[in-house]
Amino acid sequence: MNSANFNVTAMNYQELRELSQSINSNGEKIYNSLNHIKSTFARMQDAGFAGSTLRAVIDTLDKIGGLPEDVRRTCQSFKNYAEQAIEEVEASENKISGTLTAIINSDPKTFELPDWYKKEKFANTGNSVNIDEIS
Amino acid sequence: MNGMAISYDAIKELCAECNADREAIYESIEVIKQKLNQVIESGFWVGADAIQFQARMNDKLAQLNSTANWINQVTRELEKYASKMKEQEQSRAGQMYSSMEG
Repeated sequence: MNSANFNVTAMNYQELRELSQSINSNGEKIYNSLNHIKSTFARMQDAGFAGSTLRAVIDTLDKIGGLPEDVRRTCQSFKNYAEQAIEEVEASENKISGTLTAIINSDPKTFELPDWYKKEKFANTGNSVNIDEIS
Repeated sequence: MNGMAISYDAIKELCAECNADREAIYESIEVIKQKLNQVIESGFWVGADAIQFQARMNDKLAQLNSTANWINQVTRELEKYASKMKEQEQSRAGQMYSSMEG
């Protein structure tokens, strides 16, 4: 994943954080519910309610035992994606904020735009930055 | 099935727990789908990464949904079995009572 896949103006990052947390907590709920179902069926078996249907249920739950874990991992990976997206948005904001601070504190005659800005803004034109043009 | 070792009420209670868990799973699946669509439809996350991730997540959610449906079927079967067990017990009790009366 790279930052080109994010349109940072489309969604507020706090909103994205909330969404990712909600997805993750619901993934955890599913994980817990499936485990609880498995233990409920096991309790029936322990209580002596043995039979082919119940055995089939427990066998199948054992076979898909990896599923809750898989869901948990998937949700975790989404959370990681979202957290990464948030970090990138925050990094962009910090970069912009840092540049603004630098502009405010700089001497207008000697100020130079940061390298990252030159690269992104003028990458296709090959133009150099001239402070006189900007001012 | 050996239904003698567990009571009808205990089975009903355990089935109710399973049903509550299954309902919770359905609800969580819907929430995850909605939230994921919100992230993608907002246009925040675009490109192949987002499409692949959404497809993978939808696949997992479909798997979970079919598991929940299957648990529902099994729970219904257990409930039916428990009801039948109770009917048999009641019938046996009735027969015993009739023979004692006679």
